[in-house]
Amino acid sequence: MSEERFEAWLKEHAADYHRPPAEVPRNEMWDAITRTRAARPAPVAGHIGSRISPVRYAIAASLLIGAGIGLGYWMRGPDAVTPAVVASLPAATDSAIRSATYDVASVQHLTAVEALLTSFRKDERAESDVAMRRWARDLLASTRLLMDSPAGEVASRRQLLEDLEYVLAQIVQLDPNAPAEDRAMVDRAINREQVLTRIRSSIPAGFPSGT
Amino acid sequence: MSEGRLSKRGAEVPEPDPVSESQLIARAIEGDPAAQRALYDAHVDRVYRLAYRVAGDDDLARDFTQEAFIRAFDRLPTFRREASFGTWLYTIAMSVALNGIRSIRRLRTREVALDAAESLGRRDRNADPDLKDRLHRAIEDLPPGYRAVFLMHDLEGYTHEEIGEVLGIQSGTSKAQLFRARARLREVLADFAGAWIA
Repeated sequence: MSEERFEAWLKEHAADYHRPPAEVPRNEMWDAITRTRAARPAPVAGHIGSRISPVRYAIAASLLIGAGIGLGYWMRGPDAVTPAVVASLPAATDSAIRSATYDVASVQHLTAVEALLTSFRKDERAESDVAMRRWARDLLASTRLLMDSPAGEVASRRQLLEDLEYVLAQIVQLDPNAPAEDRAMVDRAINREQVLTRIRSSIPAGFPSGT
Repeated sequence: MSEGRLSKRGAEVPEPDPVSESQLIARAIEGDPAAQRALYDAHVDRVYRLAYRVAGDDDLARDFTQEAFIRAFDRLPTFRREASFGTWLYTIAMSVALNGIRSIRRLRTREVALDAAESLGRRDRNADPDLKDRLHRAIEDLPPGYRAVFLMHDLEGYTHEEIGEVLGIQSGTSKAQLFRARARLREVLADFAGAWIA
């Protein structure tokens, strides 16, 4: 009885908590939405890439590629067959080389993200979240660089990078003391957008898996 | 999520017909601005209400609502219709709002440390002037998961099934979270017990 009284009292008195105004500013918000969507080249606003010069893209891409290729050789050993996408580089034009370079960087990046997301889903220990968040933060920065580089000009890849940005941002923001539901929300976002499946289908055969 | 069952939220906006909503989604994916606006009109009140309940601030609620719709329109081609459009949209909205408010809270310095039951001592049971303030701060201090379920269920009238879908948890977990949230509020507000026992 006391419990029911408390619940009734609570509902009555808590109703004022953050009570929304009766009038929803529909038109103002719609105007802001259409303005934002029309103004930006990228669907997600506020990327750090909008303030970064092309030279930095190139440096970041080179670092990514260098690290990726080094990691690839290390993981596959000296006798491994070179992936087809790399083998095609010498015969290509400047434009094709540039495009292939970003392709390699993207694939290498996706491989790393796949490894992170797989680890995240397997490992539910809160104490590993700090390392996980640090890892996710690095990959989030790389994701944004790629989104704002020529690698982000391919529509399907761009969509995937945007979804990765969303998921990685959620992991970065995970509080170490957050309840399991917070992790479940991230997990659900990974499932809903079929992120892992799309990443794996974007990685050509021959590249070492991230898992 | 079955829509149209709730009395507290969005009463002034009729629930969209599932068939016409499906057509609207198809047109919106093709870039039809009228269809996008129709989807927006059908759901914006609920999204804004949720965002406001989480944020408690009009500017933030607007930002979260706008961001939720921008993300939803960008991702509309990936909407798989496993849940209703509303559920999918509210999931995005709650994620945007909860992550947003978490980031903001991290930046803000707490002005008052709330350790209410211990630090404030016993009070006159029936006429404490700061009951409302204490209650609001106690809600504010609930763990994010508890708070989200409490706001959605007790203040916005969502069912546990709906909350489960939106927050990505089992409905039983939602019930447990609500039970714990109420228990925590009751504990923190123990010195006001006369208000509900009388």
